[in-house]
Amino acid sequence: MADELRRCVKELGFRTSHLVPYCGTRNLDDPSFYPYYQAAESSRSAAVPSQQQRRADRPVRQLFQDTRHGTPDQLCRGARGASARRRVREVPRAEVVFFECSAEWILYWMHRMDDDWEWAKDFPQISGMLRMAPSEYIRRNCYVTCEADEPDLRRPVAEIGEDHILMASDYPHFDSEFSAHRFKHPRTRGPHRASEGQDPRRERSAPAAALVLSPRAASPPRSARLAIAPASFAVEPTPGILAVASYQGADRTGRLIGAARKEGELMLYSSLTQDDQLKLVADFKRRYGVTVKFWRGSQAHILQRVLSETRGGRFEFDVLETNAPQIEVLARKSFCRR
Amino acid sequence: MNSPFIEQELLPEVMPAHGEWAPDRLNLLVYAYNTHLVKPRTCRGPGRTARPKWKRRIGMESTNVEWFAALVESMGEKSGLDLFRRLGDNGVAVRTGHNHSAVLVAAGEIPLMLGIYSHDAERMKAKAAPVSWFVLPPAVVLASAVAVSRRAPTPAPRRFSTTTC
Repeated sequence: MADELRRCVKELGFRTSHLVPYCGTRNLDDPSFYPYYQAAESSRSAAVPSQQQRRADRPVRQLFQDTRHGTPDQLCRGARGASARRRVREVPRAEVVFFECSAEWILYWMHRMDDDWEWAKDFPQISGMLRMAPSEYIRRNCYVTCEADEPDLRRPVAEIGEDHILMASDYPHFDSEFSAHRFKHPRTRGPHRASEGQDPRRERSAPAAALVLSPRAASPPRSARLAIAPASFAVEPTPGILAVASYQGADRTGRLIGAARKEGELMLYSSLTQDDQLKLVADFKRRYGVTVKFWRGSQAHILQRVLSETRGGRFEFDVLETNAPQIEVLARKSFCRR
Repeated sequence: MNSPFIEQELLPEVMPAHGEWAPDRLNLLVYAYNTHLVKPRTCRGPGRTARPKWKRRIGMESTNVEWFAALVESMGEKSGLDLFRRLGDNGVAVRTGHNHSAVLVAAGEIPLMLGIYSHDAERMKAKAAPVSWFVLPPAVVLASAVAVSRRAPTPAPRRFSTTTC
């Protein structure tokens, strides 16, 4: 696990690793994870646990509820592990992002653990030789993601610091909306605000918008960028693409064939049936000497794959072939070239 | 999409104005039926598919949103949605994948499938499967398109492929 993380960081350029330890009875502070945390620290990548950690003794019906509602109780064990065990002393520069669970839950644990710390700090066998209050470790090593519509972000901002709160975007997720829509029409939660005579929409949207616009929040730790990859970004064609696309000479086809043979292969995402694709691949190879690698998927899967890959900065495909409405979606996101 | 073959081989009038993809095929969505289980001409209009005689004998492909929208638009929103609600009350088998759905028609699991690609039904027919198809107005045609990446890993082949295929 640790070796694989080093390889991903060193060879593949990963910045962040996503830790979903479906690991039976092991919590995040289990010693078997220490080499992984040390690798994350030494390679300057962040570990990002989600709320879907499972415990073997948890009934199946509760597992469903945890996942469905994104309750933070699973993450709380991680927070305890991140702050109240010796792991944080062994990897003092490790950065941990808790995501998909809003920003408010961690405050309770900070307060709760600090309460215990008050009396336990004099008993090393209980406090685990911590040198600071648990909340200090959280402020130093931990980040949480917030939702655009959280009822009250002022307290997390005040207690954790705005540069430790990241915006999380899960688009395209089946139940997600565009963040711009959310800022304009935030859900009204928490009637206590209205009873205080404040405008709940304005109050809620202001701190969230401020976070996005804050220069510090816009430049989160280098290692955490992958966790908050934006939904879309400008896609500029590479110089090679521009040169090929703009050339208009009479020998254009000949030059294209020559260059294509030199590059040797082509990646096609297509909805054609496998039989048809195999015929296409064989014919293309026979005519032009270019190997066509293909991935077959439905129009929806092709759309989903291209969106996911490009959000992560990966551009694997050369050519798309599927239903026009899905291609139009991708063209509107500037992934296609005239 | 910059290719002389668009004029020669494709339909320039269905090119989008921005030119970032080109339609390479036009797919006709048809009504495919199992010839052992359904007599042709017993289904004379989309509205009649909601009749009791078709109860639990009809299927639909789950991703056919364009076909659904075209049908509802042509019939008017109220009556179009009403038809699909009546179809739903009548019992509709919903399956995903056009080719897969055509196979189910050939197998006799679904006697009449709404919104199958004609070429899938024809492929079955060519294999002597008991499948045939017809079209009821409005005929719905869905374009397949080809597009090239702005950041293609191999620029020459991808440009070449879409200018010569």
